[in-house]
This record gives sequence, structure tokens and C-alpha cells, in this order.
Amino acid sequence: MSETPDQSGLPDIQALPPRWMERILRAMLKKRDRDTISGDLLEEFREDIFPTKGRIRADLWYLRQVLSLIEGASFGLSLGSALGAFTTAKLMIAPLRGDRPIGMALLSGVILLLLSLSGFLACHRGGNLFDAMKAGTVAGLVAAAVVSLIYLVQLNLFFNTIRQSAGWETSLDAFQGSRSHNLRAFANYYSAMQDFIILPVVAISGAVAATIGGLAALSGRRMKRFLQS
Amino acid sequence: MADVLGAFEQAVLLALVQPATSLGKQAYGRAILKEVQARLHRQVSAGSVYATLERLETKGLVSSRLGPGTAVRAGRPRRYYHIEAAGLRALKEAKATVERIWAGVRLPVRGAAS
Repeated sequence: MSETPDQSGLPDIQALPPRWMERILRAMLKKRDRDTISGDLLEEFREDIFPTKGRIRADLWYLRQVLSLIEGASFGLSLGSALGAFTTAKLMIAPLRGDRPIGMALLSGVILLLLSLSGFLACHRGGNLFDAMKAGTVAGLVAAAVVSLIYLVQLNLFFNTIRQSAGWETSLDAFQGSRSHNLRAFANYYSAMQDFIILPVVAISGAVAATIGGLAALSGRRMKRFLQS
Repeated sequence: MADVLGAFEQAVLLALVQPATSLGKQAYGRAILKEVQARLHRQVSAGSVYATLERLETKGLVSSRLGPGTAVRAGRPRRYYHIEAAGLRALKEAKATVERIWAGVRLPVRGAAS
């Protein structure tokens, strides 16, 4: 596989996008589009992008296209980034203030509403409840992954502040019960372990919320047809 | 009356009717994407073009057929698109709608704020 483009700008028939990205793309596309769309992207990658942009920018270009093709991925990325920005702002403004139950409930409600909107839009476009469920699952998973990643960055950059915040007791109890001697390393490990539970839970919640959104889209469509007839 | 086409849908259909680039004349997914980018003078994501093509096909405004692949795309087939009579009618209707909306308006438009 070519790693660097030659300087001629001519197509590089050996160049390949990252295999894992292509696998995700092919897994998420409908059977009908699997070969045609991945073929189009490969053609563009080899003929235009890789020879002119080089390996790193070409891979980033491919990733952007994959995200745009997976229903719910861009939505999840935006939602996750917004939530990450919110938690970062909260950390900057009031680092020691704990989360109020009513605030958390309100935030969860807004997130579920947005995930149901992703299902509504997917179903509105494709007219298929399965598309809605898939979009919600992907949106939830991507959003949760982005938030987790941002939290890991916050944890390491503002460790001394976060360890004094309310709600840190659970992590501290877990640390004291462990054999670890390094609190920072343990906090990273503990956070990553929690993600194994959080990510599937958010993905399932996304699927359920998006299915409800999809059902709303289908009902709206039937209602429109009924009124037109 | 059927739904009036959105601007992006019009750009995709026009890419099939009157392609400006030599690649665009081939009318398969990648060619249409390039043509739409040239027409709109901006980068467009592949996802938005394929989603629009799928929607237009569901509405019966375009049809598609598979064609053979080439070595550069590892032998994967191409999907070629063709505009249907209903697609041409929808385009004409969209143009007529815009012309009706703008009829009698003189530029520059004077708003209440000026």
C-alpha cells in the first residue's frame, strides 16, 4: 500500500483508505449501495484526493465522507461536541458545583428529545423504521463516545480541580478499594471501565428514542396522506 | 400539487440534465457529486448527494442501473442515474415557482429597515 503520493498528481491505484473505516462504511451501508458507494469513494480517493492531499489529509477526507454517509453519525458528533462544550464551560465557571437532579433530568430529557429527532428525520427521509432505529443507535453511540473522550481530556488537564468536585466520592471509594497507588491513572481506568456500561446504555436509549421519533414521522406521513385523500 | 423541489434537489437533477463537466456527463454517483460541487461552487458531502439521489429515486424522478466497475475502483460497479419525465416536470415546476415568486420584484429590494 502506498504511504506517500508521488508528485505527479496522477491516480495512485495502490492507495487504500484505512481498512477499518472502509469496513465500518460497508457495514453501515444498505446492501444495494455497499459496492457502488464504496467504489465511488475509492475512485475519488485514488484519482484525486490521495495524489493531491497526501496520506493524512486523504484519510481525514475519507473519514468525513464516511461520517456523512452513516445516518446519525454527524448528528451524534454535533450532539457530543455540544455536550462536551457544555461540560467544559461548566468546569470553567463552577468547577466544584455538583449536578442538580432536576438539571440532570432536564438535560437527559433534551438529549432523548434530540435523539428522537434523529429518528424522525431518518424515517422522514427513508420512510423506514429500521433506518430510524439505526440512526438513533449511531447518534447515541457517537455522542457518548465524544463526551467520554472530552471527559478524559478534562480529567487529565484539570485533574486537581475535578478531584475536589462533588460526585467524586464514588471514584475515590473505588480507588481505595483497589490496589492502585496512582489516583490519576486509576481515574482514567475507572472512567474507561464506566464507558463499557454507559456507551451501550446510551446506544439503546438512542435506539428507543429514535424509534419513537420514527413512529411519529410515519404517523405524520399517514395523517398527511389521509388529509390529502 | 406535488412538493416543490428544494435547491439541492434541483442541483442534483440539473447535474443529470445538463452536466457542465466531462466527468459529470457519465452520471454515476461520483460524477454527480463533482457536478453538484461545480454547480454550487462549494464542497458537498457524499452523504448528502447519495441521500438526495435515493429520495429522488423513491419519488420516481430518477432511475438507476448498475454498470461495470473499473480497476481504479477495485472492480466495484457504478450506479448510473437517469432523469425521468416526472423529474423534468418537477424541475420545470420548480423554476416556474421561483419565477412566480420573483415576478414584479425590482432589484435592489428595499426592506422596511432602509
